[in-house]
Amino acid sequence: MLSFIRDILWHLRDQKLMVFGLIFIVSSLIKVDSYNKISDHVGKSSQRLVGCWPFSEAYLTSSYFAQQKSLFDSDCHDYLAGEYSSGDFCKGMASEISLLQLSDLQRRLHGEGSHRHLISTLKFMNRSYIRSLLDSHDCKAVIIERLPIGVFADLFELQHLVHRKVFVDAAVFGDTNLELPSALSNRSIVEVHMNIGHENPLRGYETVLELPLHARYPPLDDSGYAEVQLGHPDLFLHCRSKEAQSEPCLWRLTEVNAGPAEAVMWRVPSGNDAHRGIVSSVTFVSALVCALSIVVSAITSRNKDVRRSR
Amino acid sequence: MGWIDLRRMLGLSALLRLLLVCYGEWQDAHMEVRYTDVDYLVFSDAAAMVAAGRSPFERATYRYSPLLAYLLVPNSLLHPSWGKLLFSAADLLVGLFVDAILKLRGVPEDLRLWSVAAWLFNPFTFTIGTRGNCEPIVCAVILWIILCIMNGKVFQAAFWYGLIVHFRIYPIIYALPFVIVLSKQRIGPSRKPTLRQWNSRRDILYNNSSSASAKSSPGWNGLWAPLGSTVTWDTVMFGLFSGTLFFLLTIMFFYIYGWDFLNEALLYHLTRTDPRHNFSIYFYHVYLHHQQGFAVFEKFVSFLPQTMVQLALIFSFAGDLPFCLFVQTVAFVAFNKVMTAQYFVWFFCLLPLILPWSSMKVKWKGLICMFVWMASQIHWLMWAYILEFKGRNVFVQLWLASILFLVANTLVLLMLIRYHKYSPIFMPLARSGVANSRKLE
Repeated sequence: MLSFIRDILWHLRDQKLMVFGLIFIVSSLIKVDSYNKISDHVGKSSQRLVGCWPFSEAYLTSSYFAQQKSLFDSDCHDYLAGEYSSGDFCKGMASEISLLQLSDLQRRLHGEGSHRHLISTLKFMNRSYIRSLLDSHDCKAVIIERLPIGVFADLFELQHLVHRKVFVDAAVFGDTNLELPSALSNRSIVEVHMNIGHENPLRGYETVLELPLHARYPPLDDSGYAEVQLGHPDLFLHCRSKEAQSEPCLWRLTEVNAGPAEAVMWRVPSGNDAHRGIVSSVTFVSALVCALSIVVSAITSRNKDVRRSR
Repeated sequence: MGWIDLRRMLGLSALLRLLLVCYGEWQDAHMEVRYTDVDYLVFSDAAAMVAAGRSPFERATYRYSPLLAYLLVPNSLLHPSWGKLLFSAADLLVGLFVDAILKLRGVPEDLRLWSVAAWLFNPFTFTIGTRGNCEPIVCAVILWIILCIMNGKVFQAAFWYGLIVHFRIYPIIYALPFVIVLSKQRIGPSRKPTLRQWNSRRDILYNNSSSASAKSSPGWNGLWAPLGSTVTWDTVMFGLFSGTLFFLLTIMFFYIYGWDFLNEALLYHLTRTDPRHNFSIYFYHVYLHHQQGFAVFEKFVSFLPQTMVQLALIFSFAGDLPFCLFVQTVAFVAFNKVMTAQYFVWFFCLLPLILPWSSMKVKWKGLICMFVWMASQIHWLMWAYILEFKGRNVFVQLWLASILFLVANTLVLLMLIRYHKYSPIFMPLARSGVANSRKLE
């Protein structure tokens, strides 16, 4: 129920209508059936660490855009895979990091409607090892989400989360427009940096990323819904030794299991092409009728005044 | 309302707003959902850009005059709540101006206080300013222009009008009524226009001087002749001065910020059509056509109702300036291609100016009007919630709710027109001498 009220208030933040918001909250306490749960699929895969590079740039994705010079024509994943696929240059840390493995990556969508959270849970193996690693190093996970056209992340919302120290850093690349529908938009990439999570006594080390995403208005579809598929993220680890003034290093995480993981799906309501004629007609007729009634009322009201005054 | 006077009312309102600003700071710091309007963050970011010597238009979705960003530079230098205090101060100023306008029109104090309270204690308005919405500034300037016109200060009115149309485009719809009403003003011996005074009698219209005044407003029996008579020294000066200021500001900011300014602060508002759901009846039509664009005929058909209504209201009520501006604004918002709740404050600030001339009793017609307007809005919000937060396809229901809201707006407007006692702000020329002599006696 609290989340329901929170959602309404969130909505009314845009509508700037707090007074009616309060009325609406009271009137809406009758629970609305949850509906879209079937559209939230769960994805799961296992990954491991490979490669090691010295890295000091603020964002990985910025190098992709610096080289591509176009927003998103080619696949960023291929670029990142090619750029960070092999190599072992951080001599000091390579042996230490090789023991660190990701046991699990779970993905799911939380929430309903147009504003949801994509939750990615990264679980690490070798609890004792990661504990000693984090004692001697500052490590953060770098998650790169290549968003499909139908959804976007609000850069300013992410910055607010950075400000609240939920994320270490966050950036959006590509089409950052927050308002356009899918048909007039392009894809975007979100890069989030998060501290490696604290130890959970039961489940080991895990990092949970809750990325707020918003659906764009999809192209028209006769079924009434458009399906947006969220692919796998690119994952990296970024560590710097606490003791020496050493250069930070970056490790890429790649999949161990060959089996493809289930994708995360998002069903977004869409307009129906069949409505076009009737909607346009009724819209214009109702506007015209209302306009004419005001015109007639204004004219008769004034003419009546003039007649009485004579 | 013997227990409270204007000063106390303003003091109480200021305290309430200060408390809300403080509460907003607390909620922003401790709760996931911010009290602060998301637009305020946009203004603040744009102001921070200006403070850093950059363009405010580097901040995405900043679609306002650079003047707003300049006003909020202290947000970065003094305190982030500076803008909220500024907007709340403008909000209080609106209350003060409502009282001043009604006082000039001879409305007794008790009735004035009720009207001021209808603005200051309207929950919608006091949350607007304290959440950081800039509309109270626009409202204060519009009311100040009315005051300037009533006091015969044409140049000052033109200055503020040119400035506010640059600041927020929508007051451009007031150009014609301002010109018409200025052409009707007659300067009395005190070098001020002679104002028509409020009269408690129901037959206010039909007293001795009403004949000439009713004829003095354009009416519909002779539309074109009065249009010709609007060309006077005052109207030409008003048009030239305000127009020049508007274009000077546009050229200046175009020179400084280039196409970013022109596209974001001006052209965006003139060409805006939003396919995302909003109160406008056109949203679903726009969404269904956004992939292939709009034919010229479709653009014309959607433009027609707005134009018809605006012209009818202007030529019927321009003489009664506050009422004309109010009904024009309600209609403009109702027939606009994009309508958000923030636009309602545009006519809420004019509502107190027409209340003393309405013969509609709060019980029950007034309450029914309020209920119809709010219920149709809440009904729309319910469908919007189901679409946006439950992800259910209710586009058709939401679109029908938009039409219902338009019908509710129309009904309320018709009721207000019906029960309004038409009262031009200026005394007509033929009688002004008589009125002045009476006043002197």
